[in-house]
Amino acid sequence: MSGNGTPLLEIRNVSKSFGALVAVNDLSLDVADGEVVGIMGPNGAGKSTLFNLIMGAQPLSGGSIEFAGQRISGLSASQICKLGIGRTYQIPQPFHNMTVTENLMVGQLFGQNTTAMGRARDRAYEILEELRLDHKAEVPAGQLGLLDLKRLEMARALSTGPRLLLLDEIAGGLVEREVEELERNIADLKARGHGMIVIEHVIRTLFNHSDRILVMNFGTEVAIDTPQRIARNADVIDIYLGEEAGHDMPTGTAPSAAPDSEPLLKISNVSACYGEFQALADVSMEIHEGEIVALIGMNGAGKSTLTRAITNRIPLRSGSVVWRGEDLARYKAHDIVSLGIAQCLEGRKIFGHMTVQENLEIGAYPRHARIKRHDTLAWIYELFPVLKERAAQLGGTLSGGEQQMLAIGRALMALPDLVVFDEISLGLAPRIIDTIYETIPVIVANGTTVLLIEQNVHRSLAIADRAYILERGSIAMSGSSRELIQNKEIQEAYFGLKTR
Amino acid sequence: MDAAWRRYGPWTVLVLAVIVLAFIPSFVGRYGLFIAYFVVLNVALAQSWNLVGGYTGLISLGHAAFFGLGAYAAATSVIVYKLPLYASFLIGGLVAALFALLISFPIFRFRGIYFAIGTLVLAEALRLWMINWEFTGGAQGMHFPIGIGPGLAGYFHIMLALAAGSTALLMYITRSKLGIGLRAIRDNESSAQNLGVDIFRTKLTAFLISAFIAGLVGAVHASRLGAIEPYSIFGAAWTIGVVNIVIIGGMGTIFGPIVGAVFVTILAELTADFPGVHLLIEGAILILIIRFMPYGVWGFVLRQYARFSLLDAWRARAGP
Repeated sequence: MSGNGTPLLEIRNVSKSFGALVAVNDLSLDVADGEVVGIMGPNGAGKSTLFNLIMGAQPLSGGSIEFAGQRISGLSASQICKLGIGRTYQIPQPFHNMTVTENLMVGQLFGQNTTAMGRARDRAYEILEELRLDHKAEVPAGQLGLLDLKRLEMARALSTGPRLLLLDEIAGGLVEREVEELERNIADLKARGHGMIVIEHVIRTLFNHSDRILVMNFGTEVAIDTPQRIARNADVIDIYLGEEAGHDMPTGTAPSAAPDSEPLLKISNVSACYGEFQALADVSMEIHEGEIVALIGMNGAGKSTLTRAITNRIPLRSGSVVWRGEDLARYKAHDIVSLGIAQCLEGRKIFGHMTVQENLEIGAYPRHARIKRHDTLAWIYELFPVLKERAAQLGGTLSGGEQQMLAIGRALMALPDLVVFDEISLGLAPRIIDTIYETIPVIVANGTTVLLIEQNVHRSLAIADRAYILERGSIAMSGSSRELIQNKEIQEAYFGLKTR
Repeated sequence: MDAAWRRYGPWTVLVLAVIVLAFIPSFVGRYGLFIAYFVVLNVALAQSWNLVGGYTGLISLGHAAFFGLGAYAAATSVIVYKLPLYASFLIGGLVAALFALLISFPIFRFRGIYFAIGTLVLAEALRLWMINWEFTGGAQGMHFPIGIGPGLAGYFHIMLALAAGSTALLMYITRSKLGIGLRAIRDNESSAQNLGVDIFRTKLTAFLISAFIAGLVGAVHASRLGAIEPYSIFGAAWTIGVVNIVIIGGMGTIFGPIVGAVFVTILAELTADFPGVHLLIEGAILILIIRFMPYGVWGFVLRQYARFSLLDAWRARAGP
């Protein structure tokens, strides 16, 4: 830890409340020049809110923030940026219609207050090279994949020439190998003396690179210490780490091979394209009644495209999707849910301005579900008691984990025979993922078959009966979860050699 | 070659085009010149809206207010204060920009659709005010002294200069720091702020430039008309026409408003004998363009070009 006199950033007794909800409660934190402080805590702990407060995106309810000896609470984000703080967003917020270079030029020109276009462009190239994004320099940001978007977030924050970087979940939503690449970027920045505050759910990233770690829960400090001591802190283990370490759920008990019966959903040789780009090539899979089937793949493997193919939202180039013996191509996308297929979309897609209960009731759209909606609602509230507590609250005010539960509940309100869960663990704290995953066997016991679309290999293989591995638009492997867990290739591809 | 063309090509084309177009009065009759005048007027007005609507993403529906204020400011300075005509043009632009400055404080608090509604309401309120304001002749309007101004060919040249000037200004801005800031605000305001862009000041700069050009165009047009009254000069038709032109041509492109202005003005002339049908046809074309060319005619061309040049690059790499 580098403690050379006055800290670079001084957060003093900062509070922030939204109405009755206290998001950050009397929090203090010092960050020295060149120091890396990690922040961890469950969803809704107030981590991103803290970043918003530092950047001046929201006014403080109490306390003060000083940077380099100057009070910055009350200044605008652009003024704070010019003083030397750069920030990245958890969900990348690029300038979609501008090239990667132009994205960086914004920070160069405005953040460092120059008008030298040529120099700004040169410096942008340098930063892109450092972050290994130079090969995409002239690509519009809207066309980047998630890993490159995360890199762009970092590059753009660097373009303002900051003394302190705020990195918000830079590893979230990435697979192991990609996380390692970003970690290398973080290590490089640290070596060059950049001070950083890093919010992460990928705990290894935090432990490898932080000088100190702040653990938050319910807006307050639980502990702040070196990574070694945080790892042994009983309070921390209780609220957070305990769930991650040694909490493997039992594997599914259903027969491991595909049953011989007529499948509920049969996808045969499906291909689909976006313009020239082939997203799915000759994909076949089966889902039988009462199964939990996992579809695993990295970003861009074609998982979401396959969901769209199932629900008839993109035209197939070839192949067929057959539901209970009927070709789904005959139906319109909005009829699919009435046939008994519901989906819980990636990114939750909650109706933010409607209450939790209204969100759920909308899910009961098919006639047979509408009739039974009161019973189903009671069941959902039993499944996720927290939703009952928040029934009258607006969907948009829920935390990430609660929103995910709401999205699952909404899908189940349609009383589907098959429910598709698209990346329901994305960006959530391990403990919340546990809670959500524990409900899946209950859902199946209630008569709904589950298709689990996931990047999270551990979790999904632990619970699924069978799984398909999707790679670059084709099924690379399939089999029972037990077989796949043993498989060497999968271990290498998804666990990055280093298994837990 | 490629870099030089990128840098100087558009300017060369612009200068050559202005030189060629300046000879239009010698080759066409009065009717043709009249249409040509409206085309260049629409280009200038469309470019001014394009800066705010296309490049900054502020969909203003109050453009008629700046145009009308420019017209009335010019008329007032010539008729009431006996100022020279050419000075009155400048005053028209300045008064419109001053109005933009005044309304910017409340209006920039609005985003998206609320900004559009806010500007529309302000423009309508201003129109109602002008109808009732005795100082500027109320509903009767104002009359310039007879015989003032340089004649239709002269007005065409002035408007051509304004159209070329505003196009050149946009070309310059889009390559400057201001242009980068505007596009950043359009794509994502909070990101832009985090990167040090002063949102208010940057938006205001674009808004003032836009209003100044619209006021200038209004001032010139008013003196050519000779007589102005608030119903038509502050009419929402100016705003709608200009938005149409930019959307049809291609928002946020330099050449789009020019394509749109030529297209819309000539289409309006061709269908002018059937007043009801004219709106129907224009509406139908607008719907078709939005459906099939969401980035406008020029945006569509650019995208096709980009696709083919990408394909070429790909073929060259994959080639023998």
